Amino acid sequence: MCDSADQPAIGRHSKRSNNVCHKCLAAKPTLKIRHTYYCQSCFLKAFVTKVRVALGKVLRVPPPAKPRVLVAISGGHASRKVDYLNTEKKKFETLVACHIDEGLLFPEIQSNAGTIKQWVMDCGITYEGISLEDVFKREVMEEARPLPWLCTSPTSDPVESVYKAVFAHAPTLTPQALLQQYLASATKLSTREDLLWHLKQTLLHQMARKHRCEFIVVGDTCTRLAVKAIAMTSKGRGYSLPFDLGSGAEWFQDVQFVRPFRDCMDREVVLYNRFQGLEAVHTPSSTTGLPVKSSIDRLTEDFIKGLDRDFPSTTSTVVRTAAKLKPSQEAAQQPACLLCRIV
Amino acid sequence: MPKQCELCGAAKAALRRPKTLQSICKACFYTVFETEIHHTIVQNQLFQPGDRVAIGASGGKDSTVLAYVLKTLNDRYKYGLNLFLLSVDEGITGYRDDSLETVKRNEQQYELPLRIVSYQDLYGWTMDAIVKEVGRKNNCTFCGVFRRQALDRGAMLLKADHIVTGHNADDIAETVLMNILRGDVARLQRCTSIVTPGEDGCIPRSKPFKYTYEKEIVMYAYFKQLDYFSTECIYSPNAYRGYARAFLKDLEAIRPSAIIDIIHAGESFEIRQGVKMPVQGTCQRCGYVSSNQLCKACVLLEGLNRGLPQLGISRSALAKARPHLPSSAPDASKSEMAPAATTSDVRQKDTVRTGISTLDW
Amino acid sequence: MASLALTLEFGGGMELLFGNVKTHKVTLPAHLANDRPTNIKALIGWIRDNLLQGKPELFISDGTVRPGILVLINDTDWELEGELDYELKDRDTIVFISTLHGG
Repeated sequence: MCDSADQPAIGRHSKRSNNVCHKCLAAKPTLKIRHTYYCQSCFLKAFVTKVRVALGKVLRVPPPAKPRVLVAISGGHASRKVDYLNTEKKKFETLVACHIDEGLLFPEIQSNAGTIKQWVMDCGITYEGISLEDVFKREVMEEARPLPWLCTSPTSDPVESVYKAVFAHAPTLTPQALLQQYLASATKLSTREDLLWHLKQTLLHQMARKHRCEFIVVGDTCTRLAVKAIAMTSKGRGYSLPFDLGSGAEWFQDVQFVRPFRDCMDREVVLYNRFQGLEAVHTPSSTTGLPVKSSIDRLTEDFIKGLDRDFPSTTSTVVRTAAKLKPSQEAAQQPACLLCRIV
Repeated sequence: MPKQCELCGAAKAALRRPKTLQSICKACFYTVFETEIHHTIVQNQLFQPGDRVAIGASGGKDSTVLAYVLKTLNDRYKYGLNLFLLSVDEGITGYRDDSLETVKRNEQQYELPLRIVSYQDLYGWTMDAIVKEVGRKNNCTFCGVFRRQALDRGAMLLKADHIVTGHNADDIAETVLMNILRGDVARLQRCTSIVTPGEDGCIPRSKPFKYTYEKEIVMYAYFKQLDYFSTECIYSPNAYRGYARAFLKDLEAIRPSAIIDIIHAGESFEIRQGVKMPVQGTCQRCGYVSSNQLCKACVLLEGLNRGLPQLGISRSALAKARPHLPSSAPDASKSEMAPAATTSDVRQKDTVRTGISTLDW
Repeated sequence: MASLALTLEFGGGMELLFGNVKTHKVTLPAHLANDRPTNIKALIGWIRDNLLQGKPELFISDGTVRPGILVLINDTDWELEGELDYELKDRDTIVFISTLHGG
């Protein structure tokens, strides 16, 4: 295909001097974020401001009420920023940090749950630890009432009907066994990753309901969102892209996903942690150590990161494009799937 | 032991169908391949009986198979179409002159009349001459913009009612990805439509291969021993699109339905209200559909003829040249802000082949 | 022959490729066989040959680190230091952090 003009200009260089930080115009720069050179202290300030503004824009409720917030913590780079929320604790009615332990999937690796709990406790934030298999626990379902998206009819009890559906064929199975059976039903890694993602979304949502939180703060960065946008497109998920990327559409009426890092690149978050001496824990994924072509998510991440190295504006362009989409009429009118709640 | 065909159960399987991974025999492959295209044509009501249909023929695999299949289906299902081959001669020595020889053989083989329109006749420039003038960096922009119009003009000369092009499912999926990657929302919304309606004197255009996998087209051409030309254009292919293409091929290897899935996703994208979209009008100079006062081809041509080949390509060149352009300043500046939007609705469909694109990324 | 004492750090999951050890103190010759000063490019090759325990493709692609791996030279983005061509100095600290989720 012959259109070289598709090619974005490589390195549209700034006319400013590259020998001095573009912010303070004094210190020697040590970093380059997109086309701007920063010294370390200016970078840290700019980063914190960016995240604070992003949060402040969204975490709003009519006074005198204060927002009730659940922060999802994986232990990864973006999670470490939870300490920031804590400094603003006065502004929140509720602040809960929720970690989903996926230890069951990776028995050979020691769980990070303890470390993460310690971080959260050190910050003085309420900790809610939950395991992936808890999605099949009755008390978790009960706590998360109401579940309007699981109602088949207004008269039937939603928890009861789901519980029956899950256990009808396997009354004696433990939640662990159920989870393993459930995931084993996906023969392809790409499908398995999707199932896992849905389970985690569901759990977060249930936990938000349990704590009566109206906001769930997640650590999706611009890079992450771009990967997700392309991966979901590749899986035919055009309808739900605006929901899944949280660009102006929400799956539920009672809970809103908040993404304070949506304008930050992965590297910015990693650099911030590095300079602040914050250590992230590494949580393996289903494709850890496997070849690039082992799943769609994995391949897409590789593709986007590769493009972003050669054409640095790619990720933000993708995220901006996705933000211009709205849920299609058709999708809005259809009832959500009972199990995965996807339209 | 060789497998039996999963469709007829009678013959031995000869291939694994890329789209479904079924093992099938050659005869069943021809049947499903042709029938799917037939369904696409019928369900989308692409043609009316008696239509004069121009097949954009480059001599490559897609358009050669398209010509062969359309001819076959027209005879088999009595569409009642008058089919023609329409080729554009960009004037690229060692590439187009050779591929045109293929098209001329196709003319004989399929008994379809052929018409060739050349850049030289239409614009007074061959691509070879343009490359000499502008170098190899932006030449594809010229070629793409000019080809789009050349097909339309050729079709008008042929008094065609309809143009069909060989864009296949892979091309369209790739275009969906490209439009997301470069943030072109206007095209993102349009690029999956199978037909662009003929408005403002334009001829409707369609892509009967919208759901046809490239691999299957190649297989079909191979098994049928169709005569096609398979050399890449000598003027640089594009690195950025190369990434998207490689990604798509890897996706297909992981999940063969990914190509159709991407098209499906593209079809369901809806653009939020309030997002600025180009407004369609016509070019004041040549009358072609354009969202600016001058269409892209006229701007590029103006640049070439005045020895300012960067016109329409870079901002600064446009700014310098603006006083000489008949268009008023505000509109010209609009084209700078969103160069991608300067191309018309009809032309958009050729995104895959053409270089109309966001120049200032 | 002069040598360089370097501190190498691996983070963000990359330590898994290096026996789960995050910090490595290593010594490299200051000059390569061709008499040129040892640079980052040479260091990456050296790491692959001497330290790496995981699969090379999870660390290297096309002669440089895989996209998505961040490199810091004494806490400065390597892009500002000339990337692969940076000439190593004694007591430099080189940090490799993976930003990859799926890898």
